[in-house]
Amino acid sequence: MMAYKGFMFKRGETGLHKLDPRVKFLISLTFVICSLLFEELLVLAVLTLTMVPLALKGRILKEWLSTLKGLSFLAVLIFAINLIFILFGSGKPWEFPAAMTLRFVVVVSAFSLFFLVTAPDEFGLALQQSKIPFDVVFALTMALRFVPVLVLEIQSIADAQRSKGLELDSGNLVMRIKRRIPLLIPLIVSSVKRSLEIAEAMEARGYGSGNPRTSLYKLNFKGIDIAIVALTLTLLALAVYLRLCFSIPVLLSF
Amino acid sequence: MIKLEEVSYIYPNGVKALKEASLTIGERASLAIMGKSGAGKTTLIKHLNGLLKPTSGRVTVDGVDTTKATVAQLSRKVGIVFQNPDHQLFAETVEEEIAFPLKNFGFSGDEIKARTEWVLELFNLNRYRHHSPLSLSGGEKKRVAMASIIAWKPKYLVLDEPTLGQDRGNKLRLKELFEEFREEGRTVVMVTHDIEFVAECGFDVALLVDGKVSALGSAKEILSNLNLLKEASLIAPQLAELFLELKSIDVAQPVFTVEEAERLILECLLGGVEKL
Repeated sequence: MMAYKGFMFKRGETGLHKLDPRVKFLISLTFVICSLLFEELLVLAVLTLTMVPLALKGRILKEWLSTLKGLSFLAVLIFAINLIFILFGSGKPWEFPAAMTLRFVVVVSAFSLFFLVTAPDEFGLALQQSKIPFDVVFALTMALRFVPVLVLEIQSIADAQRSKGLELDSGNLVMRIKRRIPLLIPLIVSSVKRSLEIAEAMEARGYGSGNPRTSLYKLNFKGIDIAIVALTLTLLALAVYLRLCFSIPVLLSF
Repeated sequence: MIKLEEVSYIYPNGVKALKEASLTIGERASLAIMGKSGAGKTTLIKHLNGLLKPTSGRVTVDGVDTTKATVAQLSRKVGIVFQNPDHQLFAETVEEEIAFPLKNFGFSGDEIKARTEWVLELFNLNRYRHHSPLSLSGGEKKRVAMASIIAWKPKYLVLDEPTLGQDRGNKLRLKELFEEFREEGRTVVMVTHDIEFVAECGFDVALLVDGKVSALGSAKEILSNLNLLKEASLIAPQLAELFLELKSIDVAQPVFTVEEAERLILECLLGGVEKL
């Protein structure tokens, strides 16, 4: 449950924090594209390791590692499913399950890196200046802001149901999933109820009645932002070239 | 008996919610835990069925250390009704909602049926038995949440703000239910800000100030002590406050109920004296 902290903004004054949010998004997107381009363990391992110095630079290593820890259950599941397919003769190399697990890790932790060093308002501003309608941007940033509230709510619901004798951590996988229904329904109901109440409260305070909104702050690319965009795009082009023109060695072949 | 011995609790974010709080809740007791918001009341009751384990200190329920039993085991004895019913209700019908904990605790089919009927009647929920609990009003949802806990008749019944959203009739029904519970040898603990209800029910009061139990005594002792109440950001029940304000009239003990007030005023008027 604490994995959500890996997606919450951590205030800081590092070089990574100061980058334009669009540049940070481009970096994360490049990680995701590269992880989808390759299915070789070597490349995916390099991609995962490349994130470590970035996390160190942003002083968010602890939070980033908590994301990895939170992913461990799903990562094991992905590994096991892929391994089963190999055993049944899917014809993929033996490193494939590990590579697919790392692909999942790269995709999720790339976004974790982005959200850890980008304030929700900054993210909203970036979207707004990319001509995305304000209502959509507002809904997105609100959703982000409410993640910790939802986590607290899951905790309260779990407490209430455990107090009624519900054992959440015993039994097999199917039973455990079934036992989570009493958590999911109240969570969905109270979330929908809250969103309706918030919408009403906002309308009652005049939301949407004025002229189109403008922003006090404007995002401007600095020299460092332009340099990093150029570097990222070069690396992305290089990755595409590598994919198309070279074959990557397989590490585990039997 | 539930015993909290110098219990401290620190949340993962570093907030120290309980600071060496000690409290003994006896059998057949009726206790109201009061204090201002953030004093640690909800944190304290979450220790009673092991949802929270103390950072330091010890909590025992009938001699069993809460760190050595599961929440489900402890909940069979300690039933907690939480404040927000929206966090508790999920079943398709009110009837199924009430039966859910009974099934968890392994009651037989006949027993489940009998107990469901009993609480539906008790909480005036009969006409909603086939309705979705999620479609009910706030006060009705609260009653369903209470009914689903009371159905298994826990030895210790703990309620967080039970009177929230309840009209006069339902409050009186609650009061009767608490009396019934006490007669059956059970214990009722409630966390509340409803000082009038506490005074009316005649519960003992534990005042919680900044994570510590600062005072413990009968409702009359605690709720008429203005210094203690001020410390806990509470105000005395209206009747008690009125008679305390009438300083020229010497009242032998605090007045909490309408009957007491009526008797004293009549005595005063008929006697034509200032001394009550």
